Amino acid sequence: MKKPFKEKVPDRGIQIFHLRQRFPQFQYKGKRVWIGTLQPMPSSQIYKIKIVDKGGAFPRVYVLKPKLVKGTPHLYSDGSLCLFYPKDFSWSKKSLIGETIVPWTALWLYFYELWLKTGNWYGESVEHKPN
Amino acid sequence: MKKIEDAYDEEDLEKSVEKWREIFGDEFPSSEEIRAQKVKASQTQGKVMVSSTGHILLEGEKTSGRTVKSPPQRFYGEEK
Repeated sequence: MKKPFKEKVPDRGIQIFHLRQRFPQFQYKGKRVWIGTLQPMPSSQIYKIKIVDKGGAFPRVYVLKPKLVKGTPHLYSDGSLCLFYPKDFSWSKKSLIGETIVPWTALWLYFYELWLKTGNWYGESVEHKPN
Repeated sequence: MKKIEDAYDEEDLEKSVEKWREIFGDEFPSSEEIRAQKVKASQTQGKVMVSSTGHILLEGEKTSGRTVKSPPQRFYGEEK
């Protein structure tokens, strides 16, 4: 009898391969860091993005250019983007960055641009309650 | 009355929105806001597609090249 397929934690090489396949503009810079660009709409500006894979903990994503405006919602205190609600378990250490973190970053940028125009965050989000 | 009928009968979404905004003013959502509502609904169902350049696509919208389906998620984080 075959053993059930056990999903493995993707190593750095697997992450590099999958990210290059899906978003070839992201370049691996070593030390688990990728830098690339995303443009959420054809009319949008192009954003320079840095992804830091924390190797087990969830990856951190930063917008390098253009600088995010003061008061931008859905950011952590270090300036990284808050892409998912941890208690939803939408991300796990078995997730591929190219299949989760990068598409969610594009979505975040899409809603960020609308927030700049309208003052409303249209993306589905969980209200942050301070401890 | 004619303006309302025109807006109602308009099949092109953007033109229809323009006509409704002529009637109701800025209280009627823009085509961008209407699309954002659709993206939000698709976001939680995992139906948003993202092109290799990062363009956000709804079901039925086409692009040349590869796309990735964005898994369902909700944003969170510290409000500033």
